[in-house]
Amino acid sequence: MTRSVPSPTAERARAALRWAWRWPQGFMMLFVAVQLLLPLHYYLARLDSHDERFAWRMFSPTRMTTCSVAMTVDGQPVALGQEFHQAWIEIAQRGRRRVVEAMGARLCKKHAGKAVIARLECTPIVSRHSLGPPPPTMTRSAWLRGRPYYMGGFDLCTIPEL
Amino acid sequence: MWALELSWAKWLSFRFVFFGLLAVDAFLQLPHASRYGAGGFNVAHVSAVPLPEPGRASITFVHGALCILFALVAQGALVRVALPLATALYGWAYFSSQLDSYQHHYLVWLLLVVLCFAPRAPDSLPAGAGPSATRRVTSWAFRLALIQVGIVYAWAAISKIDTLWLDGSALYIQIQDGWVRSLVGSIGFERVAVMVMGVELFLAAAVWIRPLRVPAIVAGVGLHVGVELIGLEIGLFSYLMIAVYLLLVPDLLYTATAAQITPLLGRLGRRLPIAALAHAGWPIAIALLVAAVVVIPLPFGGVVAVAVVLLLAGTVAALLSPARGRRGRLAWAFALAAAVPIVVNARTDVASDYYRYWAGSARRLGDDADARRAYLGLLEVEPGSEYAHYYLGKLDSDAGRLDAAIDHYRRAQRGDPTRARAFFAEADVRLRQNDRELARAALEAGLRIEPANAQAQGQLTSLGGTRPSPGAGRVEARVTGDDD
Repeated sequence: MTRSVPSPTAERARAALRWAWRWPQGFMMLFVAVQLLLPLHYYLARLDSHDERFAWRMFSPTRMTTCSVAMTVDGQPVALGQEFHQAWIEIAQRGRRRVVEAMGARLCKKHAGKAVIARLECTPIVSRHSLGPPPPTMTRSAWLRGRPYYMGGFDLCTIPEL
Repeated sequence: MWALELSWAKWLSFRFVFFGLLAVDAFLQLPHASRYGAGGFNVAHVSAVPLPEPGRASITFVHGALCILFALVAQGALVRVALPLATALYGWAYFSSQLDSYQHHYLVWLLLVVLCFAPRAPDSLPAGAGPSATRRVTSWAFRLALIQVGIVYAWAAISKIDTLWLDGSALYIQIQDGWVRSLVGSIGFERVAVMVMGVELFLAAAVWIRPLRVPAIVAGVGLHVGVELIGLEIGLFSYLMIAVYLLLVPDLLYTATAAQITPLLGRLGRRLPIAALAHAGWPIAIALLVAAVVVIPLPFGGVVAVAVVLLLAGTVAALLSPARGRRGRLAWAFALAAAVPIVVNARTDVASDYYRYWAGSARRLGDDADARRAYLGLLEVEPGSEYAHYYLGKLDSDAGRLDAAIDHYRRAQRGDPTRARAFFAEADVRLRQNDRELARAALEAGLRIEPANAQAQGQLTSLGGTRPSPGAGRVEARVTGDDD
């Protein structure tokens, strides 16, 4: 019986693996890989573009999108300020779907058997060159707003994801 | 290959500034504690990781504890225990709720994780080196921390490949009015937007490539000073990032400074009654920890209990340690750590904001009992608070305790004589008591402050009163409304 001699490439690969498996190289490589790749999730896989967490999108124009959030239970409007802390409402007003869905789930649980509908009207910012300087009575942020887009409008107790 | 060598003086300087800033920042986070768990609602960052739900009390405890722990780490005291503990608490506070979605808090947590692996002592001196030889410290953790910062800059630059950034619109909206806006406007928002992206791309590589460190300091510090001047609400983040650049400053500056300071400290040390100071450190540390509970009107009992446990554990460790003088230094580290929240509390509105935000949140969510606790807490900070007395009056009025309500409204009127709402509220209660005379008097007093209040005018007319003449006994008015 003869033993096959490993090729130099395979030997090098094994040595590299052994090196990477040792502390702290392995930890460092894993850490750097995760940090390089995690923000990619935002660009390639995340369904909610408003959710910019873990993507290092400082000063992002997306962050300046504002949404008006209205929720109803069996057609009756919900006073969101009496149900949720203002900080959660502000996150919902940035259009973060996961939070709106959780708010809906909470209302579904509280009002079992009733339809809970969330409607978001979001307005992104537009180029300042498209509109010119704002009128004196308006803030820059309020002036540079594009066409609104909408989310929701269905029963979150039946379809829990926006 | 991976390890990075620094002078020990540089590491000590960075550690003191970076963790000192984190200690202050932890205390400044306290007013936001009331939003956690409010109304029993929470959404965690990663739903797959079952973290305990945060609440006002637990977040208060965590930020209070972080303040003490970071202050200890800044001084190099109990780092082996305090830094991993602080990292775990910071991570839980961040990841347990999307209420904290600040990307810089995530970055700080990553740096804390990495710095947990930094050495606690300098490298051994090479054989034959004299006692005055420069002490150095070598660790892969320093390299990894700088690489992490570089990755953040790289992604921040990539995210700016966006028409709305590159044409200056995002900057145009975000920069507040003032001289910085005028300056950026004169250069051109588009140009500055491209420059910011370019600087971030440069820093992505320069922060961890040795030959580029000096230009990196200039560009990086300039960038973060600029961000600070823009006036974004990002707490102490700009300062923390500037502190990171202390790691890039050439060793020569630290070693030269240390060479100047060390003999001075040595001479000072010989003159000081070291033994007496070491003994005095313990009672002073205990006294300051207790003072933190007494002086700071926040629910800090749990924090101090943990600090005392740490102090006792540290004492045992110091007693068992062969290093002379460690006990005294440890005691003084605790004393200084306890002084941090006391000083920050004295210089800021953290305590009153804490109760104000808590009260406003509880009131809006309809939790009257919780709101009452918060208003009473605010009165401990500001005994004459118009805000607290006014809303306590409303709570008493709603509960039918009319005499107590009037007492609070009267105190509110004394607390801020420029606000009319407590006068109008008193008038409502007087009417419920069928005391038309005192109701009229309260309305007249309120209308002297806020003459345009149509509802009060109507009430006064129906009571047969006369509208006070304009300006009679008038004070600078603050219009009725909510202020939290």
